[in-house]
Amino acid sequence: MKCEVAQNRLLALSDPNRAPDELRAHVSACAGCRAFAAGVQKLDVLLASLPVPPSPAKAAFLQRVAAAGPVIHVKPKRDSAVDLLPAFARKGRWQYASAGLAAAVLVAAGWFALSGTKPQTKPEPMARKHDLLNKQVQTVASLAKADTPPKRLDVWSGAADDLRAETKAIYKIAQDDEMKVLTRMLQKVIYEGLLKQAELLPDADPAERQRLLTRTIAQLKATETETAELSKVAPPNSQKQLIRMTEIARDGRTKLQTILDKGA
Amino acid sequence: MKRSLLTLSFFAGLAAWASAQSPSVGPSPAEELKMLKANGTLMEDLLGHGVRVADANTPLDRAEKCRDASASLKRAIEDAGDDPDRIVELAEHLAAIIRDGLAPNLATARDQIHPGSQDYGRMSKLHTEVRQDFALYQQAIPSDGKSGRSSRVKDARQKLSEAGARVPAMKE
Repeated sequence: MKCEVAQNRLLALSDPNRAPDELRAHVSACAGCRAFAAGVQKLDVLLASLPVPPSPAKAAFLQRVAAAGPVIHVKPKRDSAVDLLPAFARKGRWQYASAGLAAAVLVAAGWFALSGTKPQTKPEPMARKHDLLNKQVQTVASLAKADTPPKRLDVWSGAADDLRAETKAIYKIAQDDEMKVLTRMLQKVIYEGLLKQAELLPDADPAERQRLLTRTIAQLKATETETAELSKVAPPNSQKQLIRMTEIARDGRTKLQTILDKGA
Repeated sequence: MKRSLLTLSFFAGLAAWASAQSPSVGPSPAEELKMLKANGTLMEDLLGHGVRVADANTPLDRAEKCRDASASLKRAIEDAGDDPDRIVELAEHLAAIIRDGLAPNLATARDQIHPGSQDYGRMSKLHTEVRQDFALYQQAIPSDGKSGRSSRVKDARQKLSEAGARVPAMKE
């Protein structure tokens, strides 16, 4: 994947923490795109926490709506579409309308010609699959393939990001018990995944070791910042666990920094 | 005339573009939360298996830990009752663990461990257990009721069989 394509796709994501696997693979292998992705994630957090300035126009509009009361005085006419006929009947308008209709017929005919040649059985409707569960399974499968600490560190970094994205997706409506599941998982990923593999990183290639640790520290910093920001605006039900997540991410980051300094 | 042709091409392009758009969007926070509630215990369980897989030092160790993870997914399938969607989702995950975790590690172990070596007996035992597991995995997927009639459940069962076929035979 080209960097330009990867970066455009990163920008197009509704949630930069939920990049598809192939995009994440490119980003984890490319320093430029990694930096770009970090910028996009930071921007996302900053935008979410941006205060909305007071708007006199909005206040005036709301006042007018409130003053109008709950009664709708003017109902739209059900046959108002008929009023379009005189407009189309004016010179030239029918040409555009008929051209549009012809195009729609052409596309529909083409589609039927391509897809309707053989009888198709109606597919069973598919229920939505749980993305985080899928990612957990992929994490186990990837760890089974990862035979070195750097590769395992990489997999655990992805797992931490997945949890961060899930947290962001549900924190507004989740109860404390549901947030606790994510907190426990983040704790496990950081203490039993990331930190354990970071300790095992070989000293043979100090530059690579430093690169991996620096990147992981930056990721935990992003988790720390994001959960801290979310905890400020979160409902009381999820606030406590968001604060706990911030503490876990901060502690993990501090411990990683110690490992990095020890090897320097 | 020229204008009509331009308009025609515009509408045709617009119609083609609109039909190419995917109607699917991500889950709502409520849906996401519902799925977290349904899968929280399983995910924590899988995470624990992930930690043990990562701590394993040899392909044989990793294969053993993947087998444990497979057992968790099998239990989840048994708990799914007659819910085809749930069974399909879990059976596909089970197939992924076998195909991408268990089978390749068992294959590497088979190449590294030779008859008569210290780990050969352990590997041989694991091999037998894995073979027995497959029969249990297939039994865990319902063959009657709503799920038994579902073509997607049948497909999932087929995928599981294909994953099982990747487990290498023991060297004699």
